[in-house]
Amino acid sequence: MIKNKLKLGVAAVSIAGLLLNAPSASAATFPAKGKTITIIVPYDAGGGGDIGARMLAPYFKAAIGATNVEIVNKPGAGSQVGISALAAAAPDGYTIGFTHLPATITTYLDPTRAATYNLSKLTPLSMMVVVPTMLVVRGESKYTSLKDLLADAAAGSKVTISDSGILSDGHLATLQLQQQSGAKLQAVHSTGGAATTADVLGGQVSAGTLNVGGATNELVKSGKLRIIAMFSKTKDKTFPTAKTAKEQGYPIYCSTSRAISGPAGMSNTVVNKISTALRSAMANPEFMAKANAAGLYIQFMWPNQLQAYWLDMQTATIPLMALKNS
Amino acid sequence: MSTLNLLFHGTQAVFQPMNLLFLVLGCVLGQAIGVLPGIGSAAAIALLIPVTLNLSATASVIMLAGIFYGTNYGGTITSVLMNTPGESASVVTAIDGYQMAKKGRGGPALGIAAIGSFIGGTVGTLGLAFGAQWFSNTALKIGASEYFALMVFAVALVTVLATGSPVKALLMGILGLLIGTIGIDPDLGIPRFTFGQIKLYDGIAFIAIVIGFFGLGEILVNIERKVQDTIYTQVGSVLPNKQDLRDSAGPIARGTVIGFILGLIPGATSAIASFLSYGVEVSRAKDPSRFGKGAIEGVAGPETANNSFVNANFIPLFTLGIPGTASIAMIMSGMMSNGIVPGPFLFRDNPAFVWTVIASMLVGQVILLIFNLPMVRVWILLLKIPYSILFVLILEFTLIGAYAVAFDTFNMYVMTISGFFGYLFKKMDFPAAPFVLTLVIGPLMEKNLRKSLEISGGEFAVFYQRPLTLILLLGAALTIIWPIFKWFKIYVKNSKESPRKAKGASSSDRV
Repeated sequence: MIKNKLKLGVAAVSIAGLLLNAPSASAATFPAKGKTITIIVPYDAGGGGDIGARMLAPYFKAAIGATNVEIVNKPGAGSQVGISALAAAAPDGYTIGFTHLPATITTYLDPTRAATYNLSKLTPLSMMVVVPTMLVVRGESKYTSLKDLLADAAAGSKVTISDSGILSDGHLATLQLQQQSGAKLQAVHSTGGAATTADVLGGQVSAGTLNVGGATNELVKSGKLRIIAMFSKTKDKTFPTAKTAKEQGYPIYCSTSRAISGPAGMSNTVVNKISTALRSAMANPEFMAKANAAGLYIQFMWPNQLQAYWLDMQTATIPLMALKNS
Repeated sequence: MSTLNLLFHGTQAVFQPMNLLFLVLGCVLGQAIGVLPGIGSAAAIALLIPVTLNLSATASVIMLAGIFYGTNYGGTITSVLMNTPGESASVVTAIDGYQMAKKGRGGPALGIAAIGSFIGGTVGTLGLAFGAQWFSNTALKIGASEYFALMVFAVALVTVLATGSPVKALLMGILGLLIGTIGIDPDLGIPRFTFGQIKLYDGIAFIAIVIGFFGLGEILVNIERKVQDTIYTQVGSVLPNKQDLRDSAGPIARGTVIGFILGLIPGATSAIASFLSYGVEVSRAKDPSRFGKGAIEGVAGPETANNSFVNANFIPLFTLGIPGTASIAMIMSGMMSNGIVPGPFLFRDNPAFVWTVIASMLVGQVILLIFNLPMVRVWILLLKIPYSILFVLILEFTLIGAYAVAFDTFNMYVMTISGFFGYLFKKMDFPAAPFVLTLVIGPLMEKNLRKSLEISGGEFAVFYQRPLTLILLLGAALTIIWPIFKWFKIYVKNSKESPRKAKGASSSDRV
């Protein structure tokens, strides 16, 4: 009996040993033949983020040599449902997902949202898309620069700025502009970029925050919209004459970006394999052509660069959380 | 080239084999998706976008658009035959459409829905072809305060929907408003009434509630009665008769206008268009008590409005690149993935594409009409299935539909609980229409009230200084006051004629 128990114990120890070694062994063979890599998209099928993900998936699959790569939409609560699932998944590399910024950050920084995750529960893998935010007015507007708009606000005029929702990238830009200039700006929350565009074009608001790209670019080119500030570090390649906010004296950087992350605790080997594969997928000329046609601003970042970008944005966002309802 | 010429060339292009094939495919798929409860056109279009990447941009968008407007034709069928709306835009159709089917008039209900949809869809498309620029610029003048006033007007119509007890109708309206507040506060970003459940952050799915409330609720009521009673052996005439057409002409005309205007405003939905049309028809009727008991106007108006809406929805997209609804945003994604950017240059830079798509929408309406009118004969055969078998099928249908809303079992529970309440309310004679009306309108009304106040800096003057806002709000006030005035008149008349009768009327709440 005792002998048997001992034997069992020995067996248990050796199995445990095998299990402990298992991660590194499986990391070396990642991705194993026959296994599926699931990419969680925490938004509805067919939205901008989803289409970009579906565009990238086949190139990622080829680059990493996986048997199968599957997109799974887990929409809800402005990405909180999907990212909760991502953070809770096994950190074996077979489940990764999209974590859009600043949405992911503002969700976990808001205590009322009771998010079960933050940066420490996730492993940043790569950046895919960075779309700068800009401040626009309609063609008939009297404002041609940030100075005009802020001077008008300082003189007591009511200046309203439409954004695509509370704590969206555009709202964060408005809050920072208010904080740095001391001017009183009234944030108006719309239900998305389309509604903000209509607000600005229809003269319902003084200005609006929109992202570069797609139909917005057409409206700027036609003169129906005018850019008065770009919230980016460098000048935009599509609109090289548009001044950045920094050039006008207000160092504000805002963008909406699509980062790819995994759960916390992934092995370095797997992280390197995935980010390297994502890089070659994004550099694929065929993919680039499709992405350009769809107006995606592809910008790759390595895991450490993404981590730094994420922390920068988090640091800038924390003081704004208290101002959000001002 | 004149618009007619361009349209003519576009029509020729539609009849190229590939374009025609994908147009028919889109219409068939749209129709099928409409029949399936839960799955909306937005999800269906999203799933098909990757497929379109291998097609020409024109064929892709022709197909995706076909799905979009085809859905509204299909959604009607289950509303009328099973009291289970396939789409939120067809919810209101169930109210009178199902009653028509019960009376053996399922055929005329489906027939008039197809005819109304055809007219609404065609007029909407003609608006796109001949006045897109003007319409989209005019619609931009509609701001948050006008939108809010319009929603108030719609909610005020609850009072006219009170065909039975006005108190019960008001209570149901308030219940709808309350349930509509569940979810993340649109302005403060704070979860309300969610009890820590992140699945409640987006609010309770409207269509899951409605499928339960109508579909499951009806099943429970029916199986409680002797099952044989509810077999509708008589199917009745298949097509609407002359009287039906005469009754429907006005509702179809008004539905077209209502749907068209709402289709131009970003953020409105086709469900709101159909509800508004229904409310307007009830308020205009000489005998409003016919509604809810199988009035053909209650099918003709809303079904026209939702199709007119869908086609008008293309106007802000094509001229300004503004997608007003989730479904049209998917079509925009489909265009962008195929390298075509909507916006002010679309008509100039891609005339062949634009005019072919517009022409395809006109041809698509004809295709759908041809599909639908003869098919009515087939669909109503469903009613010949004994109810003891049919109800099991409907039950499965409601469960699948609830699941398909978000591919999540959570909504199956929502549907089941709503079904139980639907049954209770029906037994106690509480009307469903005011509840679903405020449920769909409440969140938008709140959002736009708060947005108006953000824009005005908290000043309520915005509601009487803007003329259109003021007119709509006065209209709402009148809508509420008028029935009270009428009840009062009846009350006075009754008490003069026979004091005893008046006493009876005042003790019960039926006036």
